[in-house]
Amino acid sequence: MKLGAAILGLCGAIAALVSGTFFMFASEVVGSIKASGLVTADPATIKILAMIVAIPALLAGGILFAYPLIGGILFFITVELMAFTMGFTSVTFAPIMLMAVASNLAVLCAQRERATPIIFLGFSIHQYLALQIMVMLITVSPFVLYPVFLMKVLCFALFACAFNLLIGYVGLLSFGHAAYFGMGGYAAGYAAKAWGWSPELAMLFGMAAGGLLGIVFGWLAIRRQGIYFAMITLALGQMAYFFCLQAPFTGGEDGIQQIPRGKLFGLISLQSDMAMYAVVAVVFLAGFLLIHRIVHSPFGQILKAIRENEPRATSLGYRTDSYKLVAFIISCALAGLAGGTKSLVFGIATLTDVHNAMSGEVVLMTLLGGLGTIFGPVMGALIATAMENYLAQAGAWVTVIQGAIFIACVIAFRKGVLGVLAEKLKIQL
Amino acid sequence: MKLSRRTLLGTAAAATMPATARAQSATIKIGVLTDLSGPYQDLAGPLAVSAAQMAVDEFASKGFKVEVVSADHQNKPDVGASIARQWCDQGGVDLITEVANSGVSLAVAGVAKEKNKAYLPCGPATSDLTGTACTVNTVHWVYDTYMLARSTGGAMAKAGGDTWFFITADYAFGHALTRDTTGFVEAAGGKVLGGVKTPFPGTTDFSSFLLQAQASGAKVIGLANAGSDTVNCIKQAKEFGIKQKLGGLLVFLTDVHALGLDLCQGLLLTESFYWDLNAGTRAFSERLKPRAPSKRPTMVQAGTYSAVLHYLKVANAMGAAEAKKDGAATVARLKATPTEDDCFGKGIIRADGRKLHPSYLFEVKKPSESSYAWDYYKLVATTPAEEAFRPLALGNCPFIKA
Amino acid sequence: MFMILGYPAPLLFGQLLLGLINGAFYALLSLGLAVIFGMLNIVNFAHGALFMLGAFVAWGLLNFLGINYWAALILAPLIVGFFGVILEKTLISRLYKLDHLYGLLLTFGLALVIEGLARNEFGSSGVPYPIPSVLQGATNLGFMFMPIYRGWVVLASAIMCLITWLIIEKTSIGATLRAATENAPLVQAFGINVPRMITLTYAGGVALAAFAGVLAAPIYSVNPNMGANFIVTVFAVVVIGGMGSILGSIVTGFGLGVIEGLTKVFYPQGSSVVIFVVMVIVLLVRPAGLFGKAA
Repeated sequence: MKLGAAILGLCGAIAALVSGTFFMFASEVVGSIKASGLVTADPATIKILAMIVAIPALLAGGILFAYPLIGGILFFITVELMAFTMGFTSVTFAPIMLMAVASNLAVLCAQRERATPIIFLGFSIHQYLALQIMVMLITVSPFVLYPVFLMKVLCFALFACAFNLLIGYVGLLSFGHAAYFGMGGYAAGYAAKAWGWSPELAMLFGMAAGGLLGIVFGWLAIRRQGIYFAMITLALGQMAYFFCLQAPFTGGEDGIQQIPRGKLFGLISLQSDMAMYAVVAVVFLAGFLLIHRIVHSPFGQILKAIRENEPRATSLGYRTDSYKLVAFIISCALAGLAGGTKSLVFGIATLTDVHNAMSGEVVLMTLLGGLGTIFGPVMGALIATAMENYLAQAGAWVTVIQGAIFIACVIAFRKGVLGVLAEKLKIQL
Repeated sequence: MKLSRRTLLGTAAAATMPATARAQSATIKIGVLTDLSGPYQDLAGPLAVSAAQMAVDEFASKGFKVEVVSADHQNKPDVGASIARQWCDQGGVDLITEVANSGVSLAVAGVAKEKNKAYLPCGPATSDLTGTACTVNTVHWVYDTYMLARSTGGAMAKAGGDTWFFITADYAFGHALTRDTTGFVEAAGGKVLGGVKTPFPGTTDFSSFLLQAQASGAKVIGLANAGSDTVNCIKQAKEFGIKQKLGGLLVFLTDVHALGLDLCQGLLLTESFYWDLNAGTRAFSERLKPRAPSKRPTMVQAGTYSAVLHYLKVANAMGAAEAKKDGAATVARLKATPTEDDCFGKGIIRADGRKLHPSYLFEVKKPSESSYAWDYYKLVATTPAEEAFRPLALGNCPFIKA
Repeated sequence: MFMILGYPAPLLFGQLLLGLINGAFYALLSLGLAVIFGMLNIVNFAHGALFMLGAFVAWGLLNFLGINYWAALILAPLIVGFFGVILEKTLISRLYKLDHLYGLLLTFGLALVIEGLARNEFGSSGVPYPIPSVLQGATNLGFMFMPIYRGWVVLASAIMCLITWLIIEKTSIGATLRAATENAPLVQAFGINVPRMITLTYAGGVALAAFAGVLAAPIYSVNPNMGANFIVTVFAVVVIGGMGSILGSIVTGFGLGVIEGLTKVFYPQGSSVVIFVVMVIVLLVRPAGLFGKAA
């Protein structure tokens, strides 16, 4: 196993060196082009050059992010080695990502007048840049900050992104999303504890539970629009809460306690926070990219059409109810996944996660970060969770501050933190 | 964009610093996790934190530093567990104590075991802490549901209360108390006719449950709840003119104070500490008085003092660095050392983590019998330490081999 | 003890009474919501918090100023109503041109602030409020034992609902109000100050919530969560009754309270979800609610 570690370490080092030099070279190129004054002359050239920079950045980034995980799965059973590879990657990965970011920035500066969309999975260049920064922060931060806190942030970020799929892109305000989040948590917790399922299966089971509940509740709720939809989802959410309060498998007020984190694929123990963090990060990124992909698919375009003008979408021949229902179910399933992941991280699934206060919290995160922005919910989740964590001593003041933020958001900046930022920079995030 | 990144990194750096700095020091750190705002804030809460601080202050001169931190678990197991986790991971806490809520206490027991810290719960009642859920890191200090059931439940069943209906707070504590009391009622030839589970926390109107209890025709309505829940039940039972006997299975001094002697007179209850019991308890209450002049300590608050004091004695004997190193080893030393303090007198800790001391059956005085403030109880019976708690063999504690 | 349908009569009637009491609160709260929604087109999420505030104001009046229950029953709604005027003038009035959802979010934020402040001040278990001495005790009706205060709650809220209904349906003020709901610019053109009317309507709706809060204080003990526990159920009641219908909210409020009470006798576990089950059925059969006009 030590041999395996050494080989992978070496591979990583080589990959890092190669891509590092490549990035330096790329940014040099862009810099020199800019200096030469070519920029104003021919935007098409810049576009091509930017592509040249962006693609390898993506490739290297992808490889470097994937290899510790693949490595861990293939070779390393022990937690320490897993953590070692993670650490090693981050050390090599961070400067490279920085360089990639720098080179992309250079391209952006070079073509100031018109932001040419460079599409990768539907990301514009700005979004792509933001994605790079986000991935970098996700990779580096557990070595700096408390990993359990970060895992909480990531779980809530995924939850908020799933919620944003509805409010931001279909225009449906679901005020009972905690039901799916909490139910996912219970389902995953129960599967992991009572049936001894491995964590990845438990999480998927949580996702299925969220999705199934979404089918039933969504089928009922999409019968009404706007404010009624919000009130009905809220009432259904409360019903789910009462169900969880009394159902035998949820453990009532105690919740399901001592949920084991188990072994990933039956092989890798997730007992160490770092190992668990890697899994949570992957789950979050997968969910995040999936949502983004959905939003930018033809399906997503129809959702937006429904948001803008539902009668018109209907007159164009789309069965808007079916589209709304599918979006609702996807959102609920991802919320369930987030809840399931959270219950594995903390080893406990309780009523807190099904309570309607949690529904309010996810609305807050999304609103604060920016409705209908891709990164807004992530930012919102980070701010809200950090606030809750660092102000925990202040007791109920947290609630007061949350309420005040709600009021401020609605009255003063309805676009949220990233929405406002994007507007200032005249870009989309 | 640059700005936002810089701020983020700055915050990150600021947040890391204290964590690494604290982990290195040889200060003993005690975390009092309690209910600072909910139904148990009077019987545990701020005064329990003060009691822990008093134990630390009385022990101050021994050459190592002790710090007390406290937090509110809000009666939510997930909140409690995550505070405990953060205390262990980042705060450098070596001992977690108090935890007045059985559900929270079981969740924290798991965290303390996983992080290998000492865990001395005082407030929670569930006997599972030394039963199926016992760990080598736990010492359950003050009382438990078995003790209450045996003393109060047994006494009421013998006095003719042979049919019971339970109003149970729907979490680990209520379940354990109902289970243990049922055992004693049935052992005495009685019968349990039914029961309801009430959501906790958050139920303030018990009238509908009381009506169900009344309709059951049972002679005794067993109140398997505590704190403000019990207070509300007793009040509303009077409002609805319920004639059946109320079995307050866990009534604290503060509950009697809140209800007044008029409503409570004649009530039987069990505690392992009463401030006016003997010279020791009176001396302790006198010392605690400056910290809360208008109150008298409950057994939970006295227990927090007693537990912290015992831990500090042992930690001192071991040396602070040694005590911090391995929670399980420290707890093993706690068990090997006999306890002694003003509140509970001399006692021992059993192998499964059960602290043993006598339990007392009290009767609440009539208003005419009470001659000064907080003069509420008269002693009816004493169960010696060896008999007060569940026998070791019956607990099914996983690491005890019969 | 005689039996009805195999259940002891005191249990049946007792639960029915408790159901009526809950129904009284549902009716008062959903009535306020309906009035506000009809006029402002805003779902007032802060309704529960203002209900709680009414109870706390009554408690404060008693403990700091020595003002008794009866005076509080009038004063507390006035004070909370005045607070409502401030809220409407400073915050809510900014939202009329926006999507209704923002009104919901804003009032949700308000509810969090008010409840958080109350929790900070009083802790989550709250403070007790004594039953006024005249209404203490209970009468034995033969088939059941009825606490006088609880009977009074049902009576008082029924009267209050009737008064509100009469004002809106039978007086000229009510007629103007209904007209403004239908077509505000037209009413304005007749020289009626519509913005002021909107403000006063909000204050009125909020005062109803505060009135319910004072009624509830001796029963539930005054605690910061008392409103939050109610508000979601009241939303379900409103969905069932049909949004904006005055009569609908009163009838469904009391009716659902009774249904809930009866469920406690026949199937106690289901009592907390029965209202939501009714909501689901109504949604399937009549999506606009029992008394609502189809959208």
